[in-house]
Amino acid sequence: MNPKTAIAGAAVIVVAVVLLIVLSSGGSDDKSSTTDAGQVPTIVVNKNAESVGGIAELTYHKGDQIHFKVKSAIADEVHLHGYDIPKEVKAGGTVTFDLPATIEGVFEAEMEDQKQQILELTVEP
Amino acid sequence: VSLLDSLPFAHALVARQDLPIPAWLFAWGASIVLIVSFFALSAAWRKPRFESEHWRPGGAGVSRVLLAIPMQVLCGLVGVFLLGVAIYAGLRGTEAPDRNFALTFLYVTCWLGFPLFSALLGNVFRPLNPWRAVGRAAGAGFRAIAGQRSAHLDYPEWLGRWPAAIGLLAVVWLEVVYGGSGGVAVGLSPEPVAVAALLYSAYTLAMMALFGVEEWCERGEIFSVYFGMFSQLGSFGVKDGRIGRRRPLSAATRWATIPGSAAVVIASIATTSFDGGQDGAFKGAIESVMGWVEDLGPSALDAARITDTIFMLGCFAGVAIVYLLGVRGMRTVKGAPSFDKLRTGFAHTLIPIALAYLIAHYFSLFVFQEQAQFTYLLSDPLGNGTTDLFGTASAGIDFTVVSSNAIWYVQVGALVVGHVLGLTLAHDRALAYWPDYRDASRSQYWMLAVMVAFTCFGLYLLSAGNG
Repeated sequence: MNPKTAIAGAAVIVVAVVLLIVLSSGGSDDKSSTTDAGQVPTIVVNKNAESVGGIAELTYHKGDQIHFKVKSAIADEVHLHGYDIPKEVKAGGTVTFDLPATIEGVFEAEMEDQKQQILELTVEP
Repeated sequence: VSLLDSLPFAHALVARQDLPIPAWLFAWGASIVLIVSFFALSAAWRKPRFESEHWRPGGAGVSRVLLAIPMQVLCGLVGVFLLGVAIYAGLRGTEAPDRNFALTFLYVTCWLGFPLFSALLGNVFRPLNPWRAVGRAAGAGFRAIAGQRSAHLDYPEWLGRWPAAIGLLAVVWLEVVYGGSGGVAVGLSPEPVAVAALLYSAYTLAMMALFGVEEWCERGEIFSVYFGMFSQLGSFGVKDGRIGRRRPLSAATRWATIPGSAAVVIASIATTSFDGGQDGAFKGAIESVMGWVEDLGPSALDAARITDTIFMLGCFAGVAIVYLLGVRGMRTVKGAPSFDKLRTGFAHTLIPIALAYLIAHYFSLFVFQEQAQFTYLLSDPLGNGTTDLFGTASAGIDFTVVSSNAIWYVQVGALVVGHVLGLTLAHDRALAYWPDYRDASRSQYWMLAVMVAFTCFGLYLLSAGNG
């Protein structure tokens, strides 16, 4: 293959890839709907230490204030990993997490004793 | 509530997971890969450059010190001691995977650290290999008592590196299937890992007694073969009792001549792909299959493990098929050697891809867990608060040391560099196999397709994240 053909071929494929990405990213879903301003999301945990409605998903940007509540039917420790914040909750009680989003990544909160994940927390740059 | 949610859950080893790479970076990565590939085809060299090593021995003094018998004994003792600590911690320490020395040491520090440092510094595992050290000591003891060398069975040539390839699958299976099935970390507890390490030690020493220490390390011992494979990429090596330097990548050209070598490198790419995809790209498919498996009767946990095993083996088959299709394609080019010769002859071109996959998938895990390794896991190896050997038992991991942007650039950079090195090795080998350089270039359309497939698949796995 001569260099001209190569460059032409590369250019065609680059255009194709860019188009592909632009087209495919248009339909991506945004799951940051749970962080509406003014409303503090509350994760309700049942007697089996499960989050009602499945594992909750919260998305923030770095520098935001992470703010959510956990209302638990059982006594346990709610542990937000990565940020490493444990909070004891009584049976029927509610605990509040309110902290700045300083670390980027995907993190789990779990009912520590029951080893049950209740939240997937995403902090984007 | 899906099946996954009903499985018992224990948090995984690391508390911060990577964000998926953004679409724009995916596009850049893929574009760079394609541009580089086209230039590689058009502007490439016409004579093989890596088939001979260009060996340059280093200073005799350095070799004398580093390769001296007391130094070998010392390194062996360090290896045996650390394996002992890991097994003891696994058996007697806390069940919490992130607080026990055993898991981080074996699966992060060693399993991920040795490939990287082997590629940079040469075969650093060889002197530290605890089983080799024990085997050699036993051999020396036998010679001293019996007055002759111990006799060994002939190692079957056809078996080659297959025991290592299967063992590699088993090591990763223990970590990510037995310990982390179904996209939810069931939590590999330290105890089964310690038990596995004990069983593996017994098996390895038995095989060394049967076939000889060096023979088994070259072909059957999982960790020697696997880490040794990556050491072929780098510049440093030992030859005739001297440490020296060779042309980078050149040692790799001879690595795959032993049967089963291709299976080792394919197993590496496949297991990393599976681990990268099980929470992301393959998650939906895994959930569907898990539903069908559970309908057949096994418990949710067993169904998850069976399904993950199927997917891991599926990854192995998939990677093997892509590679073999490339080989099959090269066969169609005028003047091609036999299928078997091509299959063996191009296997080493996948080693840089395997290393790139490891770096792309585990870079952040390594950075985070090594902080634990050298602080609280070192001071309190059992993880139950009984010791504070270096005063660092209460330290934590600083998850802010690398930003998501930095992780993304490392991931994409590793894949692109791995791709270029793989292409380089493949082009060079083609020049050695085809007398006419134009036929050699033509044969490389096929390997190019293979490399582009692996690199873009790697990018796709990273972009699909753990959603």
